[in-house]
Amino acid sequence: MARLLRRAAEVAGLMAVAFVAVFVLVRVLPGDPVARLAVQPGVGAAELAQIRADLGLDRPVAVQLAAYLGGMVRGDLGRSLVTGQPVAAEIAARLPATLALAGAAFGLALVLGVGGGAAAALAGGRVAAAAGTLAAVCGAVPTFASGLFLIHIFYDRLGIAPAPFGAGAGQIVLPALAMALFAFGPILRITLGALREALGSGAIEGGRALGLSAGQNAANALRLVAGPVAAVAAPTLAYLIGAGVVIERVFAWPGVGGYALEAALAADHAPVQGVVLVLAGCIAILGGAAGWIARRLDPRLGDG
Amino acid sequence: MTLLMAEAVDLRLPGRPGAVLDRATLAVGAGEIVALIGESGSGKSLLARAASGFLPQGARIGGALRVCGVAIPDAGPARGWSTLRGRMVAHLFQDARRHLHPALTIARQIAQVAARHGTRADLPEAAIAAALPGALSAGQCQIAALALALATPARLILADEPTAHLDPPAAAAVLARLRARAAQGAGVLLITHDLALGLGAADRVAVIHAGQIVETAPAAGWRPRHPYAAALMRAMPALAPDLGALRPVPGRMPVPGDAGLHACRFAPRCPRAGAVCGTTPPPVRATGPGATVACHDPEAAG
Amino acid sequence: MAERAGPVLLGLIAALALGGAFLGLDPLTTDVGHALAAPSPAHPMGTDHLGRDVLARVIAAARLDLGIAAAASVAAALGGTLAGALAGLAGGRAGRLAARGADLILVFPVYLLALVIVLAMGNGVGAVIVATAVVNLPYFLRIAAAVAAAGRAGPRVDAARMAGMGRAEIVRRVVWPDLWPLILTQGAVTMGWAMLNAAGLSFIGIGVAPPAAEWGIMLAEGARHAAAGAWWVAAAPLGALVATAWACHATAEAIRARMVRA
Repeated sequence: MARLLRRAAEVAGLMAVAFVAVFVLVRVLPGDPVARLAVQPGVGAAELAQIRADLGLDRPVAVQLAAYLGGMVRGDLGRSLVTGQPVAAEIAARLPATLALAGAAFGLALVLGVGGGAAAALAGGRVAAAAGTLAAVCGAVPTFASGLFLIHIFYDRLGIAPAPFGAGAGQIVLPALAMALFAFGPILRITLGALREALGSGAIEGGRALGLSAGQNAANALRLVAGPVAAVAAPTLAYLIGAGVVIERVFAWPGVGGYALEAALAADHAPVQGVVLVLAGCIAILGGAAGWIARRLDPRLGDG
Repeated sequence: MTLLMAEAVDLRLPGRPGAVLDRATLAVGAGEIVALIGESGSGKSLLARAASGFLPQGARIGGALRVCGVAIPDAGPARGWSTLRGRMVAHLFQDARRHLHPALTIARQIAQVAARHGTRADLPEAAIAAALPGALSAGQCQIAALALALATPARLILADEPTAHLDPPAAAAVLARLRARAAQGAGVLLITHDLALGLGAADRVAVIHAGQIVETAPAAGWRPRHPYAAALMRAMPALAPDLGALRPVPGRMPVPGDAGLHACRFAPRCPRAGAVCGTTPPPVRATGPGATVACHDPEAAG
Repeated sequence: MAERAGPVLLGLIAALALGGAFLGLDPLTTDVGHALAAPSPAHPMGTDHLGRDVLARVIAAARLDLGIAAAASVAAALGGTLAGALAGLAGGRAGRLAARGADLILVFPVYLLALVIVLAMGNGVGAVIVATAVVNLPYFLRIAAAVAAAGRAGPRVDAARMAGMGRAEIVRRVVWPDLWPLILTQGAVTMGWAMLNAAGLSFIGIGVAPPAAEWGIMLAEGARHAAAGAWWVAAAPLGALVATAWACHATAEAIRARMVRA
């Protein structure tokens, strides 16, 4: 319990620093969002100055930071200068789509990686080498390329996939697959290597000498593999959460990535801040959860 | 019932020239502890591995080998070991730590074995039971490994150097547990390089040299007849002060790949060797109840 | 033998990219009259939608992408290794601080962080290099910190001190031999990632802009036309990108294999 609190405090501290970093960074974005409003008729210099004052953009950065913090505690993440909508609401509406996509991609990557790696380890020899090479090549194909390719094959040519633009249950398959194909490689390679070693290890030989069942030996072998696999899986999940930006473009997937991208291009502070912070929070929490699971499976891993 | 029966067993390993076990004959019955004594590399651990099926792919067994009545086929390690291991035969490996699961506590590992075989297992002391193998000393690992082996219902226990890292009181405790298990009807093959330990702990001893079993005899009041066994005894004057001064055995034990192996592999170093020892395998002669000697010298057979 | 495939391929691509500058190929001149021409002896990889020679663009893009990846990897390696090594050797507070710094960068969503940095620095190649370097720096930092920590204490250090070695010599003899192969391996891995990062950013319009020849841009432009039948416009840059990224990873594996043997 104490350890949990300590980890939580560490994560909170990390998020605090991240927060300040993003805040400052975002204000360095070129372009003046307020000036964009000037294209509307009837908005003169005086009005612009008034808008700037209203938004607090003329105050020192530290003051803006404090104001934002205060708002954050209330659940107010500011407003988009482009759309005028509250950021918190937009993020809340879009975040599930991004997380669902990352989750589906991660699940697929685990199935391909751990499943493929285990199968290759048991098959041994040539099969294992071929699996390793396949994984390496897949890891060299960027997600947007495989995404486009999958759309072309399954939608344009074969017509089996539903129209890729939208966020229905059927439509998550292709974008998740595109991301999973890129991400499963390292997981497969580590599962293959670690499982091979585990199967030949003294520990498993000892288990067989004691007459343990095949199921017990398999579980013991997987337990030996849990540590290294988790060490690769956790950053993979972090990557998948952040990599959605590009895939969301390709598939017009309504997640927070696209929202943040548009805002960044328009130097719109609040959405970018909000999205980066929320995603960083998700990554920190999920990373911690993955580490906890790994430590339960293999107590040797200790404090991560 | 004879739990382990090896008759003229040869063992060849892939990639190694020569036989690592040569016409080895040994028996372990229910209720007895047999000490298999030999130097490093003499093949004693391999004999145990042959009896539990842990030989490398491609190993070939000649002669007759039966474990708990089940014949081990010529082709070496075969399927079907899963019915024997744990239920009939348990192997306590020499490197105990390596054979423990590093991510489970000893208690959990024992629980796994107990669940598998439906036995009720005794846990070692709390300090060992609650720990991960990484936190245990070499001796504690041996105690843990013994507890795991004794948690199985096995009738044949192959204990390879079970006391190597233990101080005398702990070693005595281990031997006492093995003795207790034997008293319940199990047979124990106690593998060691320590002649004194073997004589003290076992009912019968068997001496192995370069893959050949040169002598077997009851442990009590044993007077070695084979030249090699006598040399071993002489190397430990405390055991038999009347056998003569401490005299190391010249030369070194041959390994199976050596060129020009004699039929009796001790012949080059044997003070009583004759021409026949190089060409003809020594006959195995009975010298008393449960005692045999493999030697051409008529004096050895008594 | 098979493990040489990666480094050999990478070397070939690099040689082609550099040599291509002297071949007189023209990646920029448009010739709309011959747009989307299929591969032919005159244009071995065909032409794109503006009539530009695809092969010339692929080679020019190789120069740019390899350059960006190499520069970013070197920057990340230098910065991360230095910071990590100093922190690891100093130990205590500094060590933990450096670890937290690495964690900090790693907690951000990768593309968004890179994106924001690139935009904040005003787009362009330099911005992409800096952003990619920052995003990959933590990996070098962690490796260096872990290895350097071994140079603070332990049996090898004790032996070195008893032999009268000073701090600098301990670093040179105990820390460095373990460190440089790991850094080199990570460097090769980072190069592969950097290529894919840069291509991804260009694909969404950040960083390098058209009409520059860059594999991500070529893919973005070519995707539409490829779907309509002009497959070479997308296949060429994709093939080059995949081959190069794979070669980088394979090179990392080869380095690791040699290192383990040594």
